[in-house]
Amino acid sequence: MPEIKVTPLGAGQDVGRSCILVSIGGKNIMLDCGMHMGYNDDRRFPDFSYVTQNGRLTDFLDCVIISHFHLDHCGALPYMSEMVGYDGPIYMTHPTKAICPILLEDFRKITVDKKGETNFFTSQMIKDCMKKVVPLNLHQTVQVDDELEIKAYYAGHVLGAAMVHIKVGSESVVYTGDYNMTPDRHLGAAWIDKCRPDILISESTYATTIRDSKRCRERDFLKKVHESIERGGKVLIPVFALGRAQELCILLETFWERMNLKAPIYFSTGLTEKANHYYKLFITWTNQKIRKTFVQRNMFEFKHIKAFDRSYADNPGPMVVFATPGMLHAGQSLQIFKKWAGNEKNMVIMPGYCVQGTIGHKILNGQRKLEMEGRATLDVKLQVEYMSFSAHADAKGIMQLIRMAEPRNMLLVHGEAAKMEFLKGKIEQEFSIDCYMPANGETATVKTNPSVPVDMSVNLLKREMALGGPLPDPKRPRSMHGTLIMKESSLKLVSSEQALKELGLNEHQLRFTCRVALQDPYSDSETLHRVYTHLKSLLKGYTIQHLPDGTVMVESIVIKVSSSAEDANAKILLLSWSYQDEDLGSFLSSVLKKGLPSGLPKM
Amino acid sequence: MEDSEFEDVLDEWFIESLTAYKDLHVYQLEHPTQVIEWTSGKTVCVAGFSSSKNELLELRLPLKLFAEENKGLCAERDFKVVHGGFSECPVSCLRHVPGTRLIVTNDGRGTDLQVWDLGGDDSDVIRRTGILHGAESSTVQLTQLTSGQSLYKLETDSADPLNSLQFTDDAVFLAGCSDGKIYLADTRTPAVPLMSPPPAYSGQSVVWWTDASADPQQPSCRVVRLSSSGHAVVSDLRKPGEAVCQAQLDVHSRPDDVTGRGRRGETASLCQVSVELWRSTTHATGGRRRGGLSRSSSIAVTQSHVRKLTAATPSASPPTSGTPSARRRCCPPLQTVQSTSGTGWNRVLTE
Repeated sequence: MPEIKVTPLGAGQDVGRSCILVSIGGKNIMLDCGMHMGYNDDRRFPDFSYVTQNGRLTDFLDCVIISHFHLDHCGALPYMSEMVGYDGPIYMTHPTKAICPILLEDFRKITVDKKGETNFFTSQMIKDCMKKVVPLNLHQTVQVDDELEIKAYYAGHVLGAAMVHIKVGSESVVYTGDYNMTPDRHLGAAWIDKCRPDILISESTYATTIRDSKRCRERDFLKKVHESIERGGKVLIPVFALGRAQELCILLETFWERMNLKAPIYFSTGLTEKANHYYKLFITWTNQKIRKTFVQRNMFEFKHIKAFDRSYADNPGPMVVFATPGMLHAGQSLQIFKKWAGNEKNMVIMPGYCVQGTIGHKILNGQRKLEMEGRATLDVKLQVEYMSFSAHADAKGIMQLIRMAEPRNMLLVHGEAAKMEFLKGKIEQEFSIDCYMPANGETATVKTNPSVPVDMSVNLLKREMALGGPLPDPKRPRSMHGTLIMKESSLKLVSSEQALKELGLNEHQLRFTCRVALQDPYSDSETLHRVYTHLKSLLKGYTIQHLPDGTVMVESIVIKVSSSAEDANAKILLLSWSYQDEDLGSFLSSVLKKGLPSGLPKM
Repeated sequence: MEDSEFEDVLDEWFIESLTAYKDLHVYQLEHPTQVIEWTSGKTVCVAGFSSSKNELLELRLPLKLFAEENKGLCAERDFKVVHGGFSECPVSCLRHVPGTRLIVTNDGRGTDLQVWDLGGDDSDVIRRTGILHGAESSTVQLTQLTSGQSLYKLETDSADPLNSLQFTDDAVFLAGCSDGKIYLADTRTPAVPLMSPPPAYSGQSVVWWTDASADPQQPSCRVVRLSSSGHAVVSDLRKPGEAVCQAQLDVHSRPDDVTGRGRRGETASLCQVSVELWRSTTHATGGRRRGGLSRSSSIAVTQSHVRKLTAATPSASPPTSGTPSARRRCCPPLQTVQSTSGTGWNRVLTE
């Protein structure tokens, strides 16, 4: 039976790093290559020894596919390709290709420059890795090779995030990566067609979460900002250039207008340029509203939001500033933070995860005294708020996605099997499909039942139709007789004569004859008649004929009677049948060997 | 931005909520629930009420709701499903048995009680462990949940449909019949339970609900009986036959639907809510009230509760049987399952 093997890589039961190996139709694919942000040693990298114990991965992997730019999905990519070694294609969407290297470089700087680590990839490695990237467009089928094809679907979640459909022959797998089933302010909702993959691979963590509504999160954000402004404080919002920042800007702009607020809002210029550039490139990846806005005017021409100048940071009075980088590890956001940290009226709102070693990470862990360069200490008196805006699917969302794609099997990663029995039961009951939950390092083998397409010759089809019976129905199997030929890598069902012709062979007819000796005192013709009567009573439903030429025919089997010259009672029954009627012929001979019953009516 | 886009982003409710609430969290369950019950300090249980398969879920509250200090540093604001199970019937009533990992549910149509084990750390499945049932005064029994052993049986002459069942202290319980009768039973003795007849003005087609409140500051327990015609009678359990005070409530009900179930069901809900309020106000003031129902306050609460209950209540479907007696048996749903604290903490009273 054909099968697909799926192995989530990683140590133990840890969530936080995505890297999945799929073996399908003889092809090996790596889905995502994430870094575990919680570890400082080699445990942060996926365990590639599952692919091969020694050396480079190129010969063992047909391709690598990255779903989106978050570090827990792509953070280990340069390590994998340049330090372990992989030279094959790496597939990702255009926005992911543009944004990945920026995040990887930031991450590298923090890890190496700030924390002084050595076993880590270099800037050059990031560049070399990105040279291997083949960008994908949405809904476009890409042939990786003759047999393997992939297609990207919109996943929502962040700019450029994709769900991937992987197909080899008639077997297929869909990997969701991170996705979101409800539209954002700047992103649409995930969508996939009824592609009916053999396996749908998704995270289990979503299915057991019930999320606080987006409006409440936004409400929280606006309330905090408002309260700070009201008391004359300054609010710093460190952001990465894209997506989320723009969404928060739209919110603030609307709120300012509605409440008639006067405090200035600033957006650092570096952000504006980059953001505009990226949005121009990736406009198809945002939702309808944003596209409309962009067409009408420049992305960041807000009424209340102006470009920032670093001298403004010293201005008195309340203000809000969006500045990069997002984790407060360098640059403008850090400079502003240093100026404002000492005043308890001020606030910093961290809208996302911060890597260990950054100031962002430290203050989110409650640290109130920070060691800066030159042994200076910074007292953190301002209010620190952590607000997560990233959009993930939840219990309802995962069920919606399954309904959309109609997979034959479900596979959930990143959960403990014992703790997912309910979810497994829920999916199995709702959709009548099997649900697999391999632990990290464990392989789930999913048996598939691929349908094999076969061409059928017209002659054969006509012949079968002539036999009558019910009309062809895809839901009712119907037996038929033919010969299967494999020719030019296609399968064809033809009649036996045609098959013989194709092969250049002659058809031979096989006929069997059998002699049965009988003691019967009657004349030959009478004996024949007795045989006829006997068989007629035995074989009801069969065509039995007593022909004028002195033979009895049972279907196509011929029976003749002759007697010995010496003994008129010693009769010989000659039976003759073709190979096709072997069963009936053998049966008749064994019946007749038993002799004829005495009470048969005479002619 | 155009005006319509302003509306889109921030509506009136949203703006008002900024000043109205310090914190606001909104969660949408995959399936609606009529019940919510604490199962521990950090978990609650909810369950669906559709006519076919339903989920029971034990949800862990997000950390953000508990954080006292450093609330701003806590980003975790989502509920997590920690245990789940399936029920073939709707769940219209759900109670947790304190000190255990057991819950008891009822479907609102019959009087069967399903007992479920919420499970521990080793599994996330909520499993059904048993069914308890009984509907009349002659079938009331006290059962040890964990062993299934019957500890006490209410001995009565008649089999009257019950509308309430509750403990007034660790050993004494009260069984209220639909005709207004009350049985008071002490599980420590085999003595015949004390029976109090229905209030004097009880008519033939009037249905009664009973609730009791044991205030530790008071020497005895108070009982309130409320009829389907809105008559409320308060008695002292030392003399249950006498009325300490009474009132006629101004109850607005919907026009009769064909089965009459809608009106009874709603009145039952009204009664339940009114009685709850009465109980809580009695406690709050240390029982210094005159013991009567505060008419205006109970009605105010009742009206708002009716809205809530109406929103949550599914459309009433006519009972399958057409005879009046069968209809009476169908409703009202079992609403007063209680468990005791103290030595008998894992016992459940069934009717």
